[in-house]
Amino acid sequence: MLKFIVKRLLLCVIILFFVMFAIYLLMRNLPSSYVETTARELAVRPGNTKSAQQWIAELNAQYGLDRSPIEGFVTWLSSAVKGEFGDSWYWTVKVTDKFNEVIWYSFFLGLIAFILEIMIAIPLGVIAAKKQYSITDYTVTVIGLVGISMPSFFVATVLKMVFAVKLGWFDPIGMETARLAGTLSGFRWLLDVAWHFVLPAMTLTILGIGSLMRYTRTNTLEVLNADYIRTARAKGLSERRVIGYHAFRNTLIPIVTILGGSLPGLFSGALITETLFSIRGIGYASYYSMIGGDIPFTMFYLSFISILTLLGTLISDILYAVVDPRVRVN
Amino acid sequence: MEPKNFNEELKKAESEAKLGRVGNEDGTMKLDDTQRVKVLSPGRLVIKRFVRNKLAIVGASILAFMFIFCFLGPLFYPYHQTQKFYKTDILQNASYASARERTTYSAHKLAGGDDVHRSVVNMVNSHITNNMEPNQLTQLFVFDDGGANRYLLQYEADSVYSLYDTDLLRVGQFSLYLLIGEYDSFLRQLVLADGVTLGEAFTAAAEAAIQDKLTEFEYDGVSYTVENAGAKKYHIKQYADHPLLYDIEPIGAAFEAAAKGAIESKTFRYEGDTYTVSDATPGTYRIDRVTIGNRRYIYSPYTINLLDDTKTLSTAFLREALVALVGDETFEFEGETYTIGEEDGEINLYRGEAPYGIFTTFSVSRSNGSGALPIAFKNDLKAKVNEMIDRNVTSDTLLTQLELQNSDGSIARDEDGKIIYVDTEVSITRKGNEFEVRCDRLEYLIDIYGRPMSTLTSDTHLIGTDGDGYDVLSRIMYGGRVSLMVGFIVVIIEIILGVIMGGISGYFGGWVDTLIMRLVDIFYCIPTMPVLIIIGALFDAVQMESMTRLMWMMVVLGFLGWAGVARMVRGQILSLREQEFMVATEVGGLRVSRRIFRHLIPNVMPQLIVNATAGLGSVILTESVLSFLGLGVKHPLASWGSMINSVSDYSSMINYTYIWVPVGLLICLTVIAFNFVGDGLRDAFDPKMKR
Repeated sequence: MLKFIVKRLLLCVIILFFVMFAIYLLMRNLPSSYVETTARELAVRPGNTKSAQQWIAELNAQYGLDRSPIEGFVTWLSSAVKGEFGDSWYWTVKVTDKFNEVIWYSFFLGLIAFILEIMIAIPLGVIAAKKQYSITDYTVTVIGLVGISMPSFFVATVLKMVFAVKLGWFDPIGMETARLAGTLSGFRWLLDVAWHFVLPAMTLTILGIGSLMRYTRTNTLEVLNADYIRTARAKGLSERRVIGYHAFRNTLIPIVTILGGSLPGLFSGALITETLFSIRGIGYASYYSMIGGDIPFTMFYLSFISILTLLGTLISDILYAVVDPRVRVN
Repeated sequence: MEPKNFNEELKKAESEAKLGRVGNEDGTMKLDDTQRVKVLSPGRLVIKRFVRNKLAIVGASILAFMFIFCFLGPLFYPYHQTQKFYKTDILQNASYASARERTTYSAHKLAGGDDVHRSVVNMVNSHITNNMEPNQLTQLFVFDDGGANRYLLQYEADSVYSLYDTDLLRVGQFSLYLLIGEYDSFLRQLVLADGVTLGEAFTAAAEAAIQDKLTEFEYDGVSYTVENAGAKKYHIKQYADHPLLYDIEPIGAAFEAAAKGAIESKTFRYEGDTYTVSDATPGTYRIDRVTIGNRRYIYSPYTINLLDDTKTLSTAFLREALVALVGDETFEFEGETYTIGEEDGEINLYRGEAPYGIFTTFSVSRSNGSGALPIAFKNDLKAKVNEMIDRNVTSDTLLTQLELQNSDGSIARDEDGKIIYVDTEVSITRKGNEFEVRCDRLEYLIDIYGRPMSTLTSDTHLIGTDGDGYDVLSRIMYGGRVSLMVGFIVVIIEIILGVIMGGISGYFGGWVDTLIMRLVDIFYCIPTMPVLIIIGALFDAVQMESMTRLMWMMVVLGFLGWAGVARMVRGQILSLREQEFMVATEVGGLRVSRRIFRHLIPNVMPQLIVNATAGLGSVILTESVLSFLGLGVKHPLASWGSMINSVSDYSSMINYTYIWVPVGLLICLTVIAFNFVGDGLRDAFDPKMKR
């Protein structure tokens, strides 16, 4: 087992290296980079004596962009390994400081949605499988499919329209009540933020519920077809016990695997949803960094996401082996 | 040997059996009749299972509808996606006209005016307003465009000046004083002018005089004047009545006196000729005789208010009128004779005998479009403006007569073609010297955000119009084309790449397999959405043309998505290649490419089709998200995502639900349909899941 994990980890490092290299090349080749934009701004400032070209050269030297992409990547990588990701150009603070500031908003938003998804999707999936081809089954399947099929911005917009505009229960955007900003403290601030998290969390839940529900349904169906269920029924157990005990526990095997695999994803933030609701999480911060050509922050964010993806796969593979003793490592 | 169709064989056997049988002619079947078991081909089996699935059928019908709607719909729909629509609507408090007292002298070019240098033409207005005293009869000024040409600006009449070609003949020069030297009190040094030879004693006397702050001192019986020249410098001058030195035949003492008296005014007349006096060197003036040439420009702030408001004033007519105003007060224009006469302090223009217009410096112009304004309105406005200036207020209202508008915004006329006027209340606001007249007017506008089924316009739009005045329904159709096309092309790219890579990897195994699978791992790991956002920003920066951009976007989407297909194909091939039929192909000595693409890939087809159908939905989603972020399909091309993006800000979201709700529902419906069909196909291909 240990050997397997070590081997996988090594593989992950190699994959990560190439992914980061590809992304670094992409970022470096952006024609209108942050540097150019800044240089143009600096060149038209009053009292400026240098031309935009001179500014570009100077800023490139300052940001280390005058080196070739390969050199630049090696420099980036060697400091990134040490945990130094430099200063964010767009947010003008240290990348790690910005990350610490925003990551917990994203995490809690993700966590709320994750818990809601589990609480809604798994029972519905089991029920749908239990009554296959019934009205309930069709309803659940259709709802699940609708959830998967909706673009995130549409869900967000509809929710805003209904709950923020028509009913006026929530603010359409923002993370705290604008007119109270800075006046609340402690628990009341927490409540205010929680109130603003309702719509984004709802959006994420609606979007995520479908796939988990379908997965649960498929797996439960598979389990219900198994011989030991027939045996359980044959020996006269109540349907309740058959489903709730024998079937459900076996259904949980694959579900736990993928849920474990999606745990790292809680940190990756929701790019679109956070941006649409102006939740100052990692997704929001990175969206504006990417648009603004902020290489340090984007590189950090993308390597972070890649690590989380690799970690997710690794965790689910390991869990698969741990939860289901039939699976052999290798 | 010919291939045998099992079905055909069975039927044949059945009919043979029937022939040999005795009795049972009524067509009833026996329990052991082979016809009782209908054997379907695998393809038909799949179709049969698919058709039985209600959701799949619903999905398939939705898709069929979408395709007809998006690809055939535009053929029968009257409007195009980039066809702008217009409407006439009441524009509240629209700017109707603006008025001001003209003070700038506008240039009217006469024959030969093109030869006058531009800098001279542009200089004249500021020269008149800054340097010339109003209404002085004989004023002139010589311009020089830096070259050989000189021009003379001459006062002609009240508010009218003309610019003439001139020739200057140097008559002579005279001096008022001699500049002896310059004393610099900072350096305490006296520098004598060239050619002046006075001794040290003079220098001492001059310095003493300056230090005593004297304005005059005498040395050697000659009186000198000290003048402060600024910058701690003093000029020492010797004033004397120097005689005029002629370049031509001397004219006389009276002329000399006139010339010396004209230093301030710079011009004088003598015996019918005009002369100019100009600085040559300090203290020395030259006299030129001016020969006036042709008139090149006429300058005036005047415009003419025509009494007939169906006519518009042309620049040529105004020019002729101005020339006549300073000339013989009559002119011909397009076959008509016009005369100018003054009455009650107004300069009137007559055509024949009938009054035709009034010269005025109070100009009123329409804010929107051309066309004359009613004279009554102009007069009312002038009176009101004067009153406002007197009362010193900046805004007021005025009840005046303006044109009646038809419902389509055009001007209403009676049977004789005369414009009908109605009482209208207008508001006047003063901004500096400008007076702006505003009132509610019907205007011809781009039909922005027209409501669905609105009857305000001549064209009805089922779902209204968008922010560019385009018909939303037609945009939806064309946007659907783009979205569906993107989906299909991207999935095709994904499958081609995936099948090739997965096929090679699965078939050959070994290091090729390892290499390709690591590549697949890398592509799996690349965060798609962030990369797409970065690439979208890149496209923005290159300012790609929207169609090229669309192509590139499809290539990028396909390139980022092949890894899943490759992994699936490899997995299938790994298990398939161990089966007997593959051993048979090897024994049969088939080529590798044939073995892969004729024998392995067709067996992967069912999974590929299922994958592709589900993939289509997700690609359409990705495209719509990208376009929604403004990083995908760009204006003027429509896509479903970009249509929602155009109304995504808060106020548009509230007000224009009729745009984004249908579009969003269509996206959902299409993706759901693809998912239904995908699920249906999977169940049909792989019936193991059925209980």
